[in-house]
Amino acid sequence: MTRVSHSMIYNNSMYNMNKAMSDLMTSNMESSSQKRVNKPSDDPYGTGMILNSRSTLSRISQYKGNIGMAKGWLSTAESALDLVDDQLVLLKEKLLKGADGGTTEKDRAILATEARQIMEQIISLSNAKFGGRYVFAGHKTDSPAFGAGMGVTARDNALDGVTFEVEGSNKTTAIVQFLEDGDAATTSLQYRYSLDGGKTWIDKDGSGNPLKSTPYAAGTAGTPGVPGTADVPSVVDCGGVKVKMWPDSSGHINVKKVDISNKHENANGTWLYLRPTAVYNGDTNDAQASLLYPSAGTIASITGVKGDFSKDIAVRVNGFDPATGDLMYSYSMDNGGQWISDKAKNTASPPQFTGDISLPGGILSLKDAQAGDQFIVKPHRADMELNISDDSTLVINNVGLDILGGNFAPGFTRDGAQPQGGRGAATNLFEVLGEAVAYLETNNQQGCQEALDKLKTAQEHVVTQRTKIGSLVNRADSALEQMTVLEFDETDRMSSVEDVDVMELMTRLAKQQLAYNSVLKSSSMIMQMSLMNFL
Amino acid sequence: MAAGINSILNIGNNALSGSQAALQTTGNNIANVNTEGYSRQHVRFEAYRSIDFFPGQMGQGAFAAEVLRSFDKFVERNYLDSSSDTSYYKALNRQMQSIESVFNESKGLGINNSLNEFFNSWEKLTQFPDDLASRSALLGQSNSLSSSIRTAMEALQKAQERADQEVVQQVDQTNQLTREIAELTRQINMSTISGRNNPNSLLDERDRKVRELSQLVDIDVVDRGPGNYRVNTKAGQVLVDNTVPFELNYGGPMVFQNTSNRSDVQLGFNGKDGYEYTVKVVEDGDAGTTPPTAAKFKVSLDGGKTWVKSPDGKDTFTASSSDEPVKVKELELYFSDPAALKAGDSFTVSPKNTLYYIEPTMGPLSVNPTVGPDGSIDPSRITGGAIAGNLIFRDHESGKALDQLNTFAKELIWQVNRIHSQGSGLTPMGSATGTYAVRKTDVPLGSSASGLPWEDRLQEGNFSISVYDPVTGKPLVGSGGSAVAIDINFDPATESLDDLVAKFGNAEFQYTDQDGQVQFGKLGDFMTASVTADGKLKLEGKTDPVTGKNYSFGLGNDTSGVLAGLGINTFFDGVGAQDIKVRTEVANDSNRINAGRINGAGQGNAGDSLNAREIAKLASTKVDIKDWTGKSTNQTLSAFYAALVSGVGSATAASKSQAASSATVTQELEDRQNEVAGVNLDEEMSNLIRFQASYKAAAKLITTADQMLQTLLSLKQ
Repeated sequence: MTRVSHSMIYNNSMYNMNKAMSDLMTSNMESSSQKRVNKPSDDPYGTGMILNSRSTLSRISQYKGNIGMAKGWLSTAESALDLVDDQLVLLKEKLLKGADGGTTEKDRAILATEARQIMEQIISLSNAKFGGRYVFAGHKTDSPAFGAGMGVTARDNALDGVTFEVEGSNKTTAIVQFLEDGDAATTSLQYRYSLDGGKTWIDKDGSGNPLKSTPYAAGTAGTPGVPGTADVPSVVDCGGVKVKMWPDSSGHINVKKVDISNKHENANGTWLYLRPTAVYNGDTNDAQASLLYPSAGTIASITGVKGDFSKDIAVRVNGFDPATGDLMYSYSMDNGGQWISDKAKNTASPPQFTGDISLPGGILSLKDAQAGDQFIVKPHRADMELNISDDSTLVINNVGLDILGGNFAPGFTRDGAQPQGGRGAATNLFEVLGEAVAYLETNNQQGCQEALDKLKTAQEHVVTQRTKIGSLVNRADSALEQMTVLEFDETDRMSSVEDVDVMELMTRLAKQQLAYNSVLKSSSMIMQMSLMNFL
Repeated sequence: MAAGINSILNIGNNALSGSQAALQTTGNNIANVNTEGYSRQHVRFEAYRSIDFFPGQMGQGAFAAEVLRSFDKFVERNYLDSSSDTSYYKALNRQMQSIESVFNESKGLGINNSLNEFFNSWEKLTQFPDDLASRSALLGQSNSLSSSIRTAMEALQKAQERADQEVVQQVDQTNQLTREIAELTRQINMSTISGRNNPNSLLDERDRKVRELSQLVDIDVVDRGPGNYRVNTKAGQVLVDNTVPFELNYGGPMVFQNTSNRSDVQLGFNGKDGYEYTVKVVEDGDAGTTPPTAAKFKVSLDGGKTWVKSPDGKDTFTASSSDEPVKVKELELYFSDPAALKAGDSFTVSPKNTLYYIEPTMGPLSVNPTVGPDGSIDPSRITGGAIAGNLIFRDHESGKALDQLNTFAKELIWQVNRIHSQGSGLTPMGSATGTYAVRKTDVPLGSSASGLPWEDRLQEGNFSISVYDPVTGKPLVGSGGSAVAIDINFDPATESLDDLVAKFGNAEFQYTDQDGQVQFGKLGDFMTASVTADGKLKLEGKTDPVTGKNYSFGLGNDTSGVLAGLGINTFFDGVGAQDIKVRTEVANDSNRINAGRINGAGQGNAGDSLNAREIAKLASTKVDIKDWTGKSTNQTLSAFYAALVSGVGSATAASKSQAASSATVTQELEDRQNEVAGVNLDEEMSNLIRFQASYKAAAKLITTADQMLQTLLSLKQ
């Protein structure tokens, strides 16, 4: 038998009442927040899971936002290209008429005006913006992707390697004919030009002297075929518009005399058409710079970089495999945060390496590299990517040059210049447009036919690029769907840890209420009992 | 006449006063029914010796011999143990709850949320990299993240201070109690007469004080009667020896030099930490060589079981003097004469407010509770009671949370800065000043002597610089027309900040000048690199003498980490949770947020979002996070933080459930003691009736004797 003291009765009653009340309050807290975990100690492991789930959910919702934004960028580009396509259909009609032998010179002039407007319209479409950012300008989203400019069509294959640049501008197409055979890079050659489509010609300057081109002078350390900034180009002056010419890689600008009695250009000397085009002001993905950080006394050189790199890659030469003499190297995609090791076949022998190093995205070719050398492949990046999941991205902008063409010369950066040298002539839409305008303006029926053929190829190219963007929109849609599913799963998982089971909670509350009531009742009963009641 | 009426009167008289004493004791019990620590008392009656007479062995009645208290010493001993446990866990739990609320993320607000929003802001920036609104939003989020980290850190430090202040009071209380117990013991010794005089209320009082003491420190009581009473801590330090009290003391940080050291070299330190550092010299120094060879030492945080590893994995450190202290975990250690140290010398550093026992013969002895990295509590120190609870909280539990929060902040700063320093803002930089200072500019940056907070994170590598024309803002171009990137090679193991500055000045390259002529130039012609008075790197574009305008520059491709390490072109300033903030240059000018990187054409373009995307990707990137034991975990920053919260939660939950379970045990033991010592009113009522009846009976006895006397006297009329 236990001896029971007065304070035991009191303490126990108090303890039981407090305990029952505190249990009740905890359940009440769960009921009011509808959460099972209200502080970390309620379920330490669960708290960790909840926090991780919250981070995941927060990321998912951000990815969904990114996907929405990506669709905005891509749709802007897509619809702009749709409209470009519409304009191209219109232009085709004009060119068909222009290529028709029955069309008169007057009609072509009208068609030319319309064609110019179509071209301007396409330039303005190419400057489509989303949220105030130009979508066809690569990374240069803050300036228009394309501007109107002047281009040159040389009707002479001998000039294919020559770089042209037009200074100044003209409302209509100008034609230049050389009147002497020779090399314009070294000699001054006579020429004449027409600003009205060949109706009238100018062959003398203001003081009555025959017009002559100026020869070319190379700047210091110039590379043949590559315009150097210090070069003095050969110039053909057409009264307000100047054509500057840099020689081809063999150092020549070979032109042929035009028989001016023959109106046709086929096999009839060197003709230059100074006609409209668009200049690409954005940036591109190609052309990578590579940097060499030599160890002391190295003689290493980079002989080539090929590929399509999306990020800067640092390469470190570690040493040589003693057995095979192969190069052991590491590369890092995050500027030295993490290094990944690999080996490359050595065509020279240690302690020097000559050969190709393969990297994610391409190949770096080295000559005489030594242990300790570091290299960085640094692409011109133009892609704007958005993360649409933990490990995939979507390119949301476009390099207008790759889709619509235009004039662009990388590294040729002097102000006010309109660099010549677009890419893939047949798919270079703006160059084709410029030629179409030029031939319509100069009443050149055969030229119109040629332009029409080129335009078909260029249009196909635009449609293909549009489809590519369309498929990115589809990818964004499916990524969104995937994110929605993930979000649902994660929410469900978090809820199973964090949220209360209402049925269970209510049952528990009822039970605890009952317990509290009975503690009160039994305590009051016991506390009232005393021998004194009976004395 | 032994069996006479007088004898009856005498018996009656004694019975009367005995019953009265019993009644008074019962009354005292009833009156003290609610007195804390009162032990029920009862009167011990003793029968008088019978006398050898006729009739033989006639009883002579009884008398109240002594008042005894009912008290179970053995239950009490268990109670004291359990009470120490309970107040240990209660103190711990109370403190844990206060830091748990720092990490309570249940409402969805807190560091986790800020961190998610921080990374999301970078993601949003990738949508429109040059958008000023997105940039301001990012700055806002970064500020709220860094301030919530700082706030959490402050709250942890406040909680530590609070625990500290409580310990100060509790130590005072302990000393007060030991003095009182000693004094009570003196009084008890004086008034105790065995079998006759029991100083019950003094004994009760002393037991009450001992109980109070057990709530502060864990104790053992040895009571072998008057004159032989001791109170020890569980670890064996005497707190009360009979009538002499001994004191605990709570004082500032201290270095204990091992008395058997072969050299008398002094150890000094800077910094604060919750752990105790055991420093052991493992290799002799040699003063005979030039320069003198410094000794090597190891450091342990658990009294020598495991040794601290530096970030490069080594566990021995080279001793040095105070101008180049060695950083080990949180402390910077230095020696008065590093070359004179001898192997085997050892020191104990207690870099915190420490609890000492004032040992009468040997001087102060640390009894501060310590927990090793494996979680075991050192049994040679105080291990129970509220003082230990508070100290374990301060040094271990909150210390752990603090360490982890610091590690988290440090890693966040480094990872973000490492990526940010590779990028470029909306405009090239005119000047840039580092945020991290070096102590010495002529020692390798990768050595701890440089004092650079990130010295251990640098590696051999390079970085490149682009220079922009003062007028056009375009990058300088080389002969081929492509942009110039000037590269600088840097090896932190051999090169100092001074070397780096020299490299900035001397880097050579080719460029095309304004007249189109190719020139050979030095970087020093376009920008100056210098070291500020407080040891930071400063870069500045030079003025072009022709135009009077300044060159500007951009940085990138830093594989060495030296830019992030010096705080050039970084995002965050600070080295841990207490000082993390957005770097002032960035906070004042959102153009300095590096969303892009300088591309192969030397341009930093408005639409380039690569750098922002790389930082945003940190949200889901697992990083290696190393702690001072050399253990590294590979997880995302948010998972690391979640683990920290989870850890605090489970420590709180554990202390809560242990407090509850040990409180139940204490309650149970209290009940056991109460079974013996507690007053039961019903029992006292029946005693009242019982002794009232015996009082009545004794009175009756006297009346009877009186009547007998009357009868006897009336015989003679």
